[in-house]
Amino acid sequence: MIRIKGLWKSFGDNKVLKGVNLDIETGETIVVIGQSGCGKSVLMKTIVGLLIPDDGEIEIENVSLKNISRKKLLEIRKKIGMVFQSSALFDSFSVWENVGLGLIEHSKMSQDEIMRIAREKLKLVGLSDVEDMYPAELSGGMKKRVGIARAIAMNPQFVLYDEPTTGLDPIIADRINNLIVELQKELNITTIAVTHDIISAYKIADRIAMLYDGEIIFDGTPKEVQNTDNPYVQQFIKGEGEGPISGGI
Amino acid sequence: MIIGAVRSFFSYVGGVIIILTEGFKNFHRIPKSYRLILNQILSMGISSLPIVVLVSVFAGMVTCFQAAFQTKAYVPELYVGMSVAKAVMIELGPMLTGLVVAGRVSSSIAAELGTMKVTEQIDALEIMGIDPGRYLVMPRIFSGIITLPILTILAEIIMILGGLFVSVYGLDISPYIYLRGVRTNFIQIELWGGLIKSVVFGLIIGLMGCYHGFQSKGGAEGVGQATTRAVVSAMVLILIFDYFIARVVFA
Repeated sequence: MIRIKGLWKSFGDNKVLKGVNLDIETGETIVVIGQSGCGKSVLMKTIVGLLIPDDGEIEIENVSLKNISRKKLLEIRKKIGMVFQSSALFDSFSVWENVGLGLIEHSKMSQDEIMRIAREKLKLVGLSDVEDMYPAELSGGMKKRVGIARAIAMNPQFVLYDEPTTGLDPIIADRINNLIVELQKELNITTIAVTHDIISAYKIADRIAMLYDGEIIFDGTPKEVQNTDNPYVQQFIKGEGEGPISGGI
Repeated sequence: MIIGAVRSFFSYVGGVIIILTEGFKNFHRIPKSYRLILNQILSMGISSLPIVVLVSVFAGMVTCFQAAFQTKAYVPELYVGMSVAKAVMIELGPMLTGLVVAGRVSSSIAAELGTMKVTEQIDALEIMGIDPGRYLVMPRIFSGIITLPILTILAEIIMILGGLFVSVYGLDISPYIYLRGVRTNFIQIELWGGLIKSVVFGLIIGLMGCYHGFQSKGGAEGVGQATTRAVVSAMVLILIFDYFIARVVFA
């Protein structure tokens, strides 16, 4: 499991996270919702140690990331896959090299074997015959799928999705949502996603947490989210411009 | 304002030292990363080759022409070859190659790493448990150290041949006299001193490209700025270190 305890993070005078507490159980899918710019991606990057919190602690499988050596951190990250908002594919590498890079670097497998695994993972995300293409030749939805294939290539225990459906049309977005659910079932991975896409959140989440003003203000099942009388949550899920949530543009 | 300038100076130096350490501490993994390094050496060397050759031919020709012109009627013809060889080995070879490659390679490293930074590709490497220090920084710095001396030696040979061309076809000095001049009063330390410079220049080129690439922020504009800064700072540092190495080596 992943345990987030009293997490604080600021950039200059801008306090982004103000004491976030959240436990993520093994095997569940949790979706963190919130406005754009409320710190969801910061939370995500802090969980995997790309950002160092000002205060508070992250524990992954009972190992605290506080004062951890760089070598151990890199070891822990092998258990984690992450799908980036912009897909973040390596544009100088072909699709199969992107998917297989972790294996190329961390295993002693032969190139043929890595290619076979890459093809297998690509098939799992619904792609075939793309392994020799380059990221620039792919559509947005395909890039996202390759990003997902890369994230699951090393059989991680945890997969993190940063805005998995942003920038995709509704149909492709729904297919990506289905894929996330299928992969979670099939591979039994613990999934954390951050999004402002409430439809996506309902579809994939076992549990939804809402981040507002640097804190988790609500945490419950999709049903509980729909039925809550918390005015902040209600305003967000209904997408209303008027309400207690101010700020943003 | 002064405090701000001092602070940004130290944060710059600190940042450069961090990147340098990232590069050096991974040097023990050179054998495992040979493929990454080979790719870098080839791309650096081959991409710089045409411009280095072109610059060297003309630099050699003008050096020879000026050496002859300035000393005409005062100094025997034998010394034309000698002046060219000395100027080329001590200064022109390493310095011009350094500056040309800085323009060519520092910028492309900064642009590549900068784009990787702003498109989260470096974060993606981190997440995959791949240390960007080992995977990106070390191969680029090490390749700089290897490639620059090789290019410099080549440039020096071409410069001397450029001088030969001018002395034979422009100044009526026989090739024999010119080449004997090149060998006259040859002092080994002058050759080695120049090559030591080129090793340091190679380091500077790789380092500045990596540092400014990693510092990129924002989008295309940030990458563009990083690229310019990488080239300017590499060139300035090459000129500064050129002086100090000369003072140490030729003291």
